[in-house]
Amino acid sequence: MNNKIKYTDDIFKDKLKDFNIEPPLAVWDNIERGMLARKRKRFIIAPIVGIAASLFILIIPAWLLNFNPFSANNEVSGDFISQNSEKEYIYNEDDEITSYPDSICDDGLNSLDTKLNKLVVACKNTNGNSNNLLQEVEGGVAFDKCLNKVKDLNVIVVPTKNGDADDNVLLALNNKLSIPSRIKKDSDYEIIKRNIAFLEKKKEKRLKSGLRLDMGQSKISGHSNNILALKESYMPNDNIFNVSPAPAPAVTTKPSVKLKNDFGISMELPLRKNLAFISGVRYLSFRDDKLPEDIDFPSLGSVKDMDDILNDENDIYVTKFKQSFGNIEIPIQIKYYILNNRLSVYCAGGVGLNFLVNNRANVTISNNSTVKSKTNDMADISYSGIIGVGISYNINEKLYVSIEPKYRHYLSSLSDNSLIKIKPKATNVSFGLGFKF
Amino acid sequence: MNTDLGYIIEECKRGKNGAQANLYKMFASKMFAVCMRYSESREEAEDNLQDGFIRVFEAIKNFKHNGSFEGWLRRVFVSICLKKIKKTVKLYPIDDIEIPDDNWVNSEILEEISQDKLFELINNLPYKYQLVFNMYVLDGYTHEEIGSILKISAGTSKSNLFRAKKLLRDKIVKQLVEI
Repeated sequence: MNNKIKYTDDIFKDKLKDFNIEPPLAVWDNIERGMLARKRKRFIIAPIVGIAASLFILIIPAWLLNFNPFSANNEVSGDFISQNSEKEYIYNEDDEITSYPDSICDDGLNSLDTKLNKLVVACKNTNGNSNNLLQEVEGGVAFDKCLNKVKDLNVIVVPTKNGDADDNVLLALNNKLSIPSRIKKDSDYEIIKRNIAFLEKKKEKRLKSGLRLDMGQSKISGHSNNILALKESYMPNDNIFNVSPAPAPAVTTKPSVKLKNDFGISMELPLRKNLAFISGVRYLSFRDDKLPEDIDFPSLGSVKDMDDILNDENDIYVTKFKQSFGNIEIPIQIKYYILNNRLSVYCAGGVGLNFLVNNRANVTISNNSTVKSKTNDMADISYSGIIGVGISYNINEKLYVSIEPKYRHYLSSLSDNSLIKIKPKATNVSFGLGFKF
Repeated sequence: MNTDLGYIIEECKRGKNGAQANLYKMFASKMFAVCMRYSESREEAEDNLQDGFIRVFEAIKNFKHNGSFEGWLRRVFVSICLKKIKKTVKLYPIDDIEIPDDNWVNSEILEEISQDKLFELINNLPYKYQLVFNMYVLDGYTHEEIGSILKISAGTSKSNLFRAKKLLRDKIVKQLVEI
């Protein structure tokens, strides 16, 4: 009985096997024109994108370096002891200082601010024994507090002529005296204390080199069209290629690419006051779960050797398959601190070079076995643009935590195949733990 | 025009335009018939033909000559057409399955009907029945495959196929009466 049914089915099959209908001539013209336009577009756009990326790398950091709204001069004036035009201390009848020399603020502290890491204050007696004199100067309460700060800041008290504690307190910049040697009163210490406190604050704010470990997850907003994205080349208003008229709309496939997760380590090097350079290594993975009928032409590129498997005589069909990829990214970014306190806010931007390190396609077939293959034509190297903002919180002087929302746009296709355009756009949030040196 | 298919395929793998044109000439009309069977309009079939050939040129490097090239090609075009279909057609199980008798169409009668007429009769079936009939009878998909592709159960595929056959048989009989 079944044979009879099969026979009837076979008659249908045989009769319509070679049935053909002549298609309109315009179809081939459209195919040919679309493929040509695609090639031209790629030829024109690739160098432009390359030049734009190079300019981005060169110009943006330069622009940021020149644009630093927090110059040292602007900020110092309000926090330091007020200055006057006198060159020396002026004492009143009670031997109290009534004015201070310019050097405190102009030559000294402004310089100290910008060259903080070179600040030294030495404390030595005339015979050069610093320990003795330190003991002597610790007698004054105000100075004692001041001295603790001084120690923390690697500041040294410099020697005076007669070894008197009151006269022995000096600040020096690069061993060159910048605050007059003669300090008479506690109020003088107060000046130093306040200035050192300011410097300490400044030091806290100073950017430090650091390492940051982080991991995050991303969501692809999806710009990953297969060859059928050729549709855009056919747009009648396409001024570049002047391709017209537009044929009926083609199918556009948008795969559900998912960036699973990413993790990495980055290094931060301060460039200027609020500016830092970041680079490091990240691992980014993403995948696309496919429908079974997509096996021949998945939007991320075809799967290697699938033809061998599916051409098998056995009754084999695909039940599910997925393509997954892993990239090592080397980001090159500039980070700008909008706010730099215990809680910092910053923005960052740059480019990422991506190296393909993992390319897998798992195909499950009808006998429940899984065939492991890979996707054809994936580009070994691709590049992306990255911009983002972040908030970090200093747990202590060395450790901080941060959260960074980022936007990553692949500027070159992840596929080497000229007919496939895979340029994911990913929004990403990463959480990190950082260590400052 | 070089008609050696093996040579044309190899040249297409290298992206040669001339070979692509030759391949198109060799198979366009057959594949257009496939597209017509799976499309609701001629315009849609033309789109599918265009998309299908672009996909073929992209993926031809995967073809390893292990099986029939035409079979592989057909699978590409059916796949292209199905991609659109699954978005628009919903198939539901039919409760009153009437399994056609064994000789659901008399083979002698069937042989007498022309190719064009047969194609027309199938194309005039309700679209959802036409779809399952095409996939199962003409393109050799199993009910499990149809179920997997159209996201329906194999049982639903079977019931729709039987309904398609019944309708087709009625049309053929009616056709004969008219003759």
